[in-house]
Amino acid sequence: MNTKALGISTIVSIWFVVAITIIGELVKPFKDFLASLTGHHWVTKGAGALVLYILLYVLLARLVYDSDDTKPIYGAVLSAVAGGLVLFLFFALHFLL
Amino acid sequence: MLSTLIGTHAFVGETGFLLFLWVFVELLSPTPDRIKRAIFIALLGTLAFFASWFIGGYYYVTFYGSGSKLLIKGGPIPWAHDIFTEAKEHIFLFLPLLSIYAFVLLKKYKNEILQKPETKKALLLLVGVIILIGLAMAGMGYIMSVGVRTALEAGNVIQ
Repeated sequence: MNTKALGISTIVSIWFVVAITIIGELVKPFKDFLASLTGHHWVTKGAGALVLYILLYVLLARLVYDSDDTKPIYGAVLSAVAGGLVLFLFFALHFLL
Repeated sequence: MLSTLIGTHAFVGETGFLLFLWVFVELLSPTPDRIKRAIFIALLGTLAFFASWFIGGYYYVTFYGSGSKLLIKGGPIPWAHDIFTEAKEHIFLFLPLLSIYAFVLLKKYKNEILQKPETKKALLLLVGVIILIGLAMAGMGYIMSVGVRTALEAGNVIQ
């Protein structure tokens, strides 16, 4: 498998979850639209992230040369930590303000 | 039914966390045998996270909104839902993606892990983050259960 493509797909999918979650909380019609696709906004987000992960990998695997470069691994680690913190702080501020 | 679903979700999720902790330990002093074992354990951990996702997701979508959520939001610590449930349900989605990535990296770079310290270090960090997110899920799940318990203690009932 092309691990560089998979790394990039992981990073993009993480930020996709962060972005649609925050936009959904701030723009009610968008959250309703997400819910209308599968019956629940969270199901759409999860299924959407998984579909994006797979499709992006299939596309990037044809476009990106694989290497054992560790940058995509660090990118995925940083994205998971930063994305998690952004979501937690967003919901904390959303509750407090 | 509900307790069984929540219990199974938590058990399977924590099993995934423990399996990746095992992978982390195997990677600390890697040998060909340990790498081979780590690949198999990472596959099991990934399957556990997917199982936890589907079981927890079924509970969340079918029962949580009309039950525990109302109790917590009407109880003394509504932030248990507004901050912790909301953060947990979304941050959890990172785990299946990260665990697939870790499994594929282990499988592809089983030789490099033995030869290149930078590859081993990067993989340890990735598996470490999976473990930390798994631990955070357990902690947030505990806070959700505290939210339900304090609401019941305060006499809150779902109308």
